[in-house]
Amino acid sequence: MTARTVFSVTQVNRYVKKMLDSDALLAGLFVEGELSNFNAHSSGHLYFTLKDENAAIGGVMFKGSAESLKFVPKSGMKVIAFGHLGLYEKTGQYQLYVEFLEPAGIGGLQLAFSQLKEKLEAAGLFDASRKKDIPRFAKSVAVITSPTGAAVRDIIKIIRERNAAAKIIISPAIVQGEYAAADIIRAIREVNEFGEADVIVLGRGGGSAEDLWAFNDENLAYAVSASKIPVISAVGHETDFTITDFVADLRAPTPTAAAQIAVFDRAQMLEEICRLLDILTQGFLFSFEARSGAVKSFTEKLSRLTDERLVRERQNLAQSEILLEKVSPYTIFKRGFAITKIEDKLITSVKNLSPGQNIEITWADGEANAKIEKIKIRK
Amino acid sequence: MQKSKKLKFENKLERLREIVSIVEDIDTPLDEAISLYKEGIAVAKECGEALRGYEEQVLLLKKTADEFVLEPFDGVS
Repeated sequence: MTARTVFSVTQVNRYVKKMLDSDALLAGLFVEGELSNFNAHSSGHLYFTLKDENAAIGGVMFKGSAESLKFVPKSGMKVIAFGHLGLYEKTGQYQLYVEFLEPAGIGGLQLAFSQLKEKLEAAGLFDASRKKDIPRFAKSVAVITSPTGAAVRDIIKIIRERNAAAKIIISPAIVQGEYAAADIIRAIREVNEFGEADVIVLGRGGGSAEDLWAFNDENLAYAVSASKIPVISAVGHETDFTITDFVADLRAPTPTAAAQIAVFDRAQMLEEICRLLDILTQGFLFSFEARSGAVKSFTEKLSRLTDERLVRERQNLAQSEILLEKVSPYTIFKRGFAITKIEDKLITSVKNLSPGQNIEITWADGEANAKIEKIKIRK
Repeated sequence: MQKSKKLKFENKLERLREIVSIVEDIDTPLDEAISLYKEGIAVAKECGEALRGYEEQVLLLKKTADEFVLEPFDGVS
């Protein structure tokens, strides 16, 4: 009888690990299955189980790989994972170390997508330096999408709500199927030739990966990149990423979001202007007040008037002109205040005066000339 | 005033912010504050008018043989 060999647990696991690591197939394989026990750890690593009807494998995706995920994995989702199989020595369990994860069912398309993405990235099409700024105060928005879809209705609705003074130019295009990419390219070219739009919203509503496929076209990517008018892309839902999204000057998660980015909120801007007016008036009155205690009670009255006005103003923005007149400096003159000047220079102190000097007094409705007789300096 | 009419909305808004900060500064001489205040009111009014605007149409861009045509878009249902 030969002497028995006794191994430590560590030795066994190390041996199995070495066996697994040396296997060519296990060094890099695609595994299809359903995600379960999905756990996105705060460290950025993802832990999950891949299973089918009969079996399960533990899986881990480290932060570095997880960051480049193009979709949000969830338990119950069918996926294809790529990675290597290895042993976690601590527990003696083997698991799949996933480097790449994609939703199952579109594997072929996904591969084409990845390859094109790499190619265009290498060509510099996604470089931040190529991206044009989205104007903050666009007056005219071109919308390239299907004229009959839900997306166009949503976009129009949001733009009208935010800023009814913004012009919307719909440039209809086929957004699905084999002719879509060429038709979208035509629309981009036409909108640029027409030239009136400040920004382009390009997109369509949600659909399957195949439905959105036109937006992964290489020629379309170059057309978006060549557009002189900045392009906001909005293809499908928040979790859908297309090549067009990477090339566009800005990617909006949805068509609705694109509409929100394309135009500023008019009511909010009017409010901002009212606020600025408020500060301006207060600042102006303060500089008055700071120079003369005599105007104090009056400024209080006026600022109260202004406050009330402003409150009403915000409720009814259309009446802002009335406010503007009420807080105008002429209103102060109308209350009996006047400005004195010597040779067009404003007099801010009696110390600048001497008896016998000619001064000019300005009221709301005219001027008068006067001569200084006596000066009294208040202490 | 004539000049500020030509400014685009963004520039006007910027000018208004600038005026506000100068007028807010108590070291600004009163005569300057008065004229800036007047300008500020005028610029704010222009901004308000530019914003109020009219309701723009939704248009459909079409290209015929060699020219562009804009038609009212009535696809909103």
